[in-house]
Amino acid sequence: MITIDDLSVRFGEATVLSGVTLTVPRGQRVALIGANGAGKTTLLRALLALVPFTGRAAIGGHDVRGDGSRARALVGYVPQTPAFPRHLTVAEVVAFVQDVRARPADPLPALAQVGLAHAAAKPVGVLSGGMTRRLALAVARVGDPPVLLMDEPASYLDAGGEALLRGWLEDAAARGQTVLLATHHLNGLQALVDRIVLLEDGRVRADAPLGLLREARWFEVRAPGPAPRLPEGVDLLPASNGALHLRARPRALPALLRALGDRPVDLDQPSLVDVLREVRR
Amino acid sequence: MTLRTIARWDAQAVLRDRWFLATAGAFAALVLAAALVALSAVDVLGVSAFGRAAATLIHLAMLFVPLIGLTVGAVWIAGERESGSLVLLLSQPVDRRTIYGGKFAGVAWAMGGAVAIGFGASGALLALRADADRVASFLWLIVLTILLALATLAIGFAVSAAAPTRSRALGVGLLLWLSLVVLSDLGLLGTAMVLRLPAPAVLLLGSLNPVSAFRLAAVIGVTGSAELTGPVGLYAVERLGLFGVLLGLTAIPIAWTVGAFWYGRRAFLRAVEG
Repeated sequence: MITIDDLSVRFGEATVLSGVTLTVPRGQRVALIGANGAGKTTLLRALLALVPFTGRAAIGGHDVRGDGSRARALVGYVPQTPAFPRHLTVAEVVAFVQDVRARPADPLPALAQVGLAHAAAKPVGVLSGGMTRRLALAVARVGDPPVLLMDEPASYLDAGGEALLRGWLEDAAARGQTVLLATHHLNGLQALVDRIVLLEDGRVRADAPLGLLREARWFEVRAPGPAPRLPEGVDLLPASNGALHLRARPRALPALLRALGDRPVDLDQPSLVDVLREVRR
Repeated sequence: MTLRTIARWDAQAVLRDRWFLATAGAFAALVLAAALVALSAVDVLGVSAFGRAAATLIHLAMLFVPLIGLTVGAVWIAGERESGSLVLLLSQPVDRRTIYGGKFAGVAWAMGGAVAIGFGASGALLALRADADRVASFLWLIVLTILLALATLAIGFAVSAAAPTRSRALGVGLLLWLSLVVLSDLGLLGTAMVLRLPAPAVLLLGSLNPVSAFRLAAVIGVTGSAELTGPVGLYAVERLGLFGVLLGLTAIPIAWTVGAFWYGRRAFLRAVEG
């Protein structure tokens, strides 16, 4: 559904993206993760032809530059910092996008879905950050596009908003929607994506399906005293601060804890991103 | 369809813009006041009320219409780009040329409407109270004013598309207004004297400015002669005839509209897509 081939972006002397190649099949939900400045936002903007780039990018087989209108017809976009014309009301913003997408409808149901029906008549200029984000989510869903590009969609959202977003991501999977979600931390969304792609310094450094990452996930175990007889799936690492330092696969953890007996144990599990980095190595 | 949709939304937006409402409102009020003053003096002086009103309206249009066109146009795209709200439209399935055209059409419609309403009210007043036979001249003035509005708006849009920030766009817009309305004639006068330019060159250089072209076309069209336009106007009418001069002068704002629109759209596409 999304094809990115050798895509590079330069702003003056700075290279923001360098030779990114990525394919997202129809119906897959992909989390694009990376630190600030890794190039996540730029990659999403390139898919909408909002920044100049070299290489090729296509959505649904439509080149995002040569056939941009058709490509964008398939996309709902939640920008990192949503902004709307300040003279419009909340309902008018949705009505405007419905008009432009030739899907005229009553904007209220769309606003009710994001909990903004009560603010329909308010000018967008008075909305809080979270409400603005909710409006961006409503706008992205106008016309029920098969592809969702979301840039830090959870930021500014309260607990209710995050629950809404999680519901939508679950719903997207059920409906076969393709999702490319850029974020610098997964914050509980990891269960709702199928694949994680790590961007660092404008390059794809790692790319793995969630199932593989879960299988590869380990526990870091620190405990005092000598090493016991290690069960299968446990590796001995160099001691840290004089303590025994072990790495255990999830299935080996119960046997290891039994082997350690009643020693005090410090247990830590790395994030999926750490696992992704490790898998890359 | 999409161009019309964007135009409709942008027309609605400009009609909510305080600066536009203030300047267009002031323009309409002054135009109406000019008509009333012209009518009130008709019996005392025994001079055509329409002639006096037209002279005032031409000067008001020369001041206000480029001011509105250049400033509103200059901030229209640059402001949306700076606030980030342009992305809402750029991420939709709409060709970027259509976005530019739709935005221009929307603001142009609102500006044309403001001119027509302002002039229409005073025109109706003049037609009812005096000089009903000068309706054609008055309509000519309205058409020329709308052409001037389109030309200055297109220039403002081009500035907006090319400028990196809203404040710089507004600065350039105001500078252009000052140049076109105030400094251009002085500059031309000085250049003509220093370089001893021949009449055709002065005519050509003078009429390249859409505001000057408007003034010449309005005066010649309303009075039916070039006597009030000075030696350059007289020379032009002698060489090209009244109709030829009017045609040529009318083509100037149209050419500016087309040229500035084309340049602005190119700058917009380059700024958006690189």
